[in-house]
Amino acid sequence: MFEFKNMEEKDLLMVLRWRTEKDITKCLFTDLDKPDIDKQLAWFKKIEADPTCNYWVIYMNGLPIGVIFLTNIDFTHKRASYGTYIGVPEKRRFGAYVMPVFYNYVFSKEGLGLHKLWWEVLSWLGNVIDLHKFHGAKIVGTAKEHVFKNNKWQDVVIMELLRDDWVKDTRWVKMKGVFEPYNK
Amino acid sequence: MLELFNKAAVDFNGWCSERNRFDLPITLETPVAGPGSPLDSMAMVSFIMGVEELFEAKGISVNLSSAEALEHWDTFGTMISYLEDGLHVRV
Repeated sequence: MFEFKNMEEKDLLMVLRWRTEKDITKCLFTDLDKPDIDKQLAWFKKIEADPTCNYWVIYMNGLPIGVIFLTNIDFTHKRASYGTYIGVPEKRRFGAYVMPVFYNYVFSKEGLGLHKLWWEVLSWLGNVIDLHKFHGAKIVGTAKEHVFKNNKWQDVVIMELLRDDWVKDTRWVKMKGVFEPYNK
Repeated sequence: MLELFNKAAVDFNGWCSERNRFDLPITLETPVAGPGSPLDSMAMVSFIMGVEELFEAKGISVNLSSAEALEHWDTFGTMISYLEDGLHVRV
């Protein structure tokens, strides 16, 4: 079973370990500056109080394997941006299954009832972009030299997935998970 | 079952060719994904969905995509064993 539990303080050390791993951080916009648990706790207190975001720890058959999160949550326009990573290397192969489970939750009326998800990906991550397209997402633009990382400017691809496009592809319907609700 | 597997492998090679990615000879010993596997996460999902669709075409409903099922095999050979032994499906 895929379960999505709201991130708690007890998760922070594990999440920090994942977040600073080379294979994960190379895909993210920022590298943490001298990461430590105190900074992580300060970050957690901030996001915990912020109603425009929610972070879940992903469990696969009882084992925590990664993180998925919504930011820029806007219930007026029913949209949010999102990101995810699988922290346990041997479970990364299941990442392509986690996303459909998440989409089914955020787009369903029983879940968050969103109309659109959007997100940004470093443009050189072709496999990631292809995976999102495989799930039905579309590229809606490119932000040139949007991120300064590893001493160079990097382009960012902007992607989005509309609820209507998602539910049209019935192959993913059966991919369900158990979510601790967003409760802010 | 092997016939069905071979059909799924042929379909999968078509899927790969359409995307100009790679043309993989999927065998029973091929690791499903991860270290040692030529398939990335998306390719694995595509292949497994192809197998499910072939079962459905024969009127057999199987869910190889649940979290429980996904951890039951390392190679496509053990996936077939899972189907035959665990679900008692014979095609």
